[in-house]
Amino acid sequence: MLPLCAGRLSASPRYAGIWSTRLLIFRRRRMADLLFLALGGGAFVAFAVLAHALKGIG
Amino acid sequence: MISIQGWAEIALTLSLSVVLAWPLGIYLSRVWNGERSWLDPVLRPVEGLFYRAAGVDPQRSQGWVGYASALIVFNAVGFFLLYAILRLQNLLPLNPQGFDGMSAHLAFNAAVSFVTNTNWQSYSGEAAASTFSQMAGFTTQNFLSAATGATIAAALARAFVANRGEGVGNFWADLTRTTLYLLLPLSIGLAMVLVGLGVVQSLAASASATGLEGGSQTLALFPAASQEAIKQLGINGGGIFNANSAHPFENPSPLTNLIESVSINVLGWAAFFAFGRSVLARKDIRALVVAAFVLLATCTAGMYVAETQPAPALVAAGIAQPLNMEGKEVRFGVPSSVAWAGPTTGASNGSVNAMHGSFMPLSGGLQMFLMQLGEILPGGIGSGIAIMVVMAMLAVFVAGLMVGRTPEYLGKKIEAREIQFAMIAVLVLPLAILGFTAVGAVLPEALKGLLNSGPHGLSEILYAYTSAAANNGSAFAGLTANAPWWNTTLGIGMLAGRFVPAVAVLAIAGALVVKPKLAPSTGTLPTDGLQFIGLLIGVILILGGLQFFPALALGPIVEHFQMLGGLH
Repeated sequence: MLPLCAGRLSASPRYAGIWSTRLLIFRRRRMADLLFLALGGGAFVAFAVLAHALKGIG
Repeated sequence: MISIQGWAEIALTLSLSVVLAWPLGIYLSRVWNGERSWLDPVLRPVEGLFYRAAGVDPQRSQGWVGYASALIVFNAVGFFLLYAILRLQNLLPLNPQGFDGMSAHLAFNAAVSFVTNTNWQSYSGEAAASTFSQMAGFTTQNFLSAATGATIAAALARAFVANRGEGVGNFWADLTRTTLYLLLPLSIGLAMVLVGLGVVQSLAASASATGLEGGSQTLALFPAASQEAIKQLGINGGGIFNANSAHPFENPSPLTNLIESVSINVLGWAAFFAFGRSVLARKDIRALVVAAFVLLATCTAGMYVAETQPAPALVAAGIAQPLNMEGKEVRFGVPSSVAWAGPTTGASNGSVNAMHGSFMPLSGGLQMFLMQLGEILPGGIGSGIAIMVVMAMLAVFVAGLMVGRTPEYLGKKIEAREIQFAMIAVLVLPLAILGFTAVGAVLPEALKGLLNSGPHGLSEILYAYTSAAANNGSAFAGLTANAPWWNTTLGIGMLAGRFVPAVAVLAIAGALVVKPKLAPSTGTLPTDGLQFIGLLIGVILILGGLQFFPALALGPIVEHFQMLGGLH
């Protein structure tokens, strides 16, 4: 994914401008992203904790 | 009207998937065991390359916690990557339609959905997901989530085979081998067949056409065939188009319909046979196949009967049809729709060729019931047989309590610890489904998305959470799910329904692997005969199904009686 992004950026300065603008818009939404990434990430951490808790049973 | 041809079509679809699964199961077992296969000359070097690049020693067997941790970490990374792709799809290539990035809650839902093998779609494929998101995001996860399910069964099988062993296998090797040797070759083959039969495979944004009345149409195009293949074989179910397999670009003819509907269950059954060969207990696992097939065939037959009864209100109005064609694709009709609806809800597939919300109430209830049993008929690749084995363990445990002997299954003693883990695996489903349904049925924020009130409205909520937590992914329609409440809670349901049972089953594997392998004695309950099949069906219906009966009674069952009373 990263090489593809870089490829698009280098293809045209105009793309770079659009990309930067969109990134700014994206940043304004960062709280929502943080929340959902934390929710997903937290769930996976909880599953790992569950595995260790089950290991302790018996 | 019920017809012999209809019964024959349903019987052919259901039985063909089992027949084809038998050789595939033997092959899958060889793949799990690392035995030689005819693809070795091509794929061994590729497999080795992956291990070298990742620094993995495929011979190193992991303990169950290590295996489960690898599974969790791998899927967590998959979730983060897919979330990023969906949020940033406007910045990524292959976006000929110019779609904006998905909203945060939708990206969360979709990423969780595809990582958990659910493929619930709160979005319309042709109106929200770029070609890159479809190919690099969804299709990739279709392979990886299916292979993840298979690893669970592979680990459990090793635990039953081991005699005072230690490890349950190597997660990375199981994942790589299942993907490389089974899913990729089969999917490439099926995709080529589907392209040959007219399924669209294109990177262009759209095609223009002029209709018979002279109006112009813009028809969205996608690389559909390649996704359709793994969507069915991987028991995923997420369509490229919103209408899923009712769309002629995904499913253009009765022949593709038969091939695709058989593909829904074939690898789920194959995992049953693979498990049987791997644990050297083919007869015992054949009993599980029979029990699962009887339940699936009975529910599917019930759907067919329900779909051939005209609604009394339509009869009274003089406009009754002999078949319920509402929400069905006229190219396929009732038998083909039922022959798809049964397998897709019995497995954790969730693709549809007809709209489930428009089926008769009892059919809708049966669809929910099939999912609520825990997606074991035959369920996902590996995840289905794993939960079925858990059910079998509970069955021998119940029998053991009745006769006062320590229960055994496949040569391993089943003791308190395994039953505790089994109950965690089994009970997370009603907790997620009924808990969220109860809240969703009263919360104003949730009810905003509901288009129907009364029992059908409750059915929509119950179906949504059932589909999510059981990792099925089909939808009942009538629910506007692309809203923060629904996307978030359905996502949580999917995660809980996938990974809590996965961890619990691996914990069972860890508990079993260290135990000695016992030879059958006179006190061992035979687990390969009709008596055990009956006991197992009873346990599945009581433990898996009965806890959902009150909710079903308030939804589809009430709606059925309302319909008979001419109220609906």
